[in-house]
Amino acid sequence: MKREELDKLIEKYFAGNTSLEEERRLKELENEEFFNSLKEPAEKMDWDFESFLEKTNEVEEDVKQAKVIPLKRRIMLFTSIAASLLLGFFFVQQLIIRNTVKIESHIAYQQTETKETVDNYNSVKDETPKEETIADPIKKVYAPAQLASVKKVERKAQVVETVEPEDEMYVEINGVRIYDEEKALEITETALHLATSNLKKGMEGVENIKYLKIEI
Amino acid sequence: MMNQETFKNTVFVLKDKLYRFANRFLEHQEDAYDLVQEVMLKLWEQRSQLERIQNVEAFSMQMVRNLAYNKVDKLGRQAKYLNQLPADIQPEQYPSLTKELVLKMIDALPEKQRLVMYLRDIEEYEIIDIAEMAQLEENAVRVNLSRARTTVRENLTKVFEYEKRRIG
Repeated sequence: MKREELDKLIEKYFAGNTSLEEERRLKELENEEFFNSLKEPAEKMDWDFESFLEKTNEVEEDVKQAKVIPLKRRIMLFTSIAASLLLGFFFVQQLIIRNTVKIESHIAYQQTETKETVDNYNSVKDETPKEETIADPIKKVYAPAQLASVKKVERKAQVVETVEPEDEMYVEINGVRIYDEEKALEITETALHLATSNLKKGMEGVENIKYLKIEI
Repeated sequence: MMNQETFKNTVFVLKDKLYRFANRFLEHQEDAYDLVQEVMLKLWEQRSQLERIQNVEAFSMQMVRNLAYNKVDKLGRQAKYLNQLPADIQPEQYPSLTKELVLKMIDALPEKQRLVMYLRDIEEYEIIDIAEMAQLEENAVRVNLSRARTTVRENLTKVFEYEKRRIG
C-alpha cells in the first residue's frame, strides 16, 4: 500500500468511516503498532460445552427440588401450625370465657349480698335519725362514706375468695397455677396476642403458597 | 425448538466474546466468568424463544452489558474502567504499545465511546450490530467511534514521544 493511500485510509479510520475489511487490512500492516495491537482478542473463557450441560442439569434439578418438594412440606407445615394455633386459640378463649362467667357470678353474688347489707344498714339508719334528730345534710354526708366502706369490704371478700384453691379460677402455665387475677389476665392476654400474631404469620405463609403455585 | 447441537453452535460459541465483554465492566475475572455462566444458563432457559430473536449475538451481548451494570451497582463496586486512570496514563520511559495499554485507553473513554470502540476495533462488529448492543442510532455509533479513536490517538501520543513513533 502506498503511503498516500495509507494516510487516506487512516484518516478515514479516525473519521469512523472505514469498513471492517479496511480495518482488518490496517491491522495487518507492518510497523503499525497501534493497529497491530487491535488484532485478535486473545482472552478466552475456559469453559466447555459438557460442563455447561452439567450445569443446566444441576439448575433444572435444583428448580424441581426447590419447587415441588418444599411446597408439599410447606403446606403440611403451615396447616399443622395453623391448626395447632387455632386449637390453642380456642382453648385459651374457652378458659377466658369460663373465668369471666365465674367472675360475673361472683360479682352478682357479692352484689346481692351487699344489697342486703346496704338495705340492712339503711333500715338501721332510717331508725337512727328519728331518735337522734340529726340534721339532714349530715346524714347525706355520712351515707356515701358508709357505702364506700361496704364496697371495700366487698372487694376484699372477692380477693380472698380468688386466692382460695377450691375456687378453681386460675391459669395454668407449665404446670404452675396462677391464682392472682391480674397476673392471670396479663398472661392470657399475652398468650392471645402471641396466638394472633402467629396466625398473622401463618396467613402470610399461606399467601406465599398461593404465590408459589402461580409461579409453577 | 433449539436442540443442544444448534445451541452449542449458535449461542455457546459466543462465550469468549461475552467473557471478554464482561471483563470490560467487572474488575475481577471470576465475576466475569460467573456472569457469562449466568447469561448462558438464561439463554438456555429461553432457547425456545431464541429463534424469534433476529440477532442472538447482539441480544446476548446486551444481556451481558445489562447484567454487568446491575452487578457493578449492586456490589457497590466501581466499574473496572473507573479506577485505572489517570494513574495509568502517564509518560513512561520505555513504554510498549501493547494491546493491554490500548484496552486501558479505550476503557478510559466516556461510556458510549468506550462501548463503541471496543465493540468495533476489538470485537469487529458491524455498525448496525453495535447500534443494537449499545442502544444507539447508527449515526451516533459512527460519531462516537470517531471521537473515541481520536481521543485514544491523542492519549497514546502523550504516552509515547510523538516524533519517535508514529501512531495511526
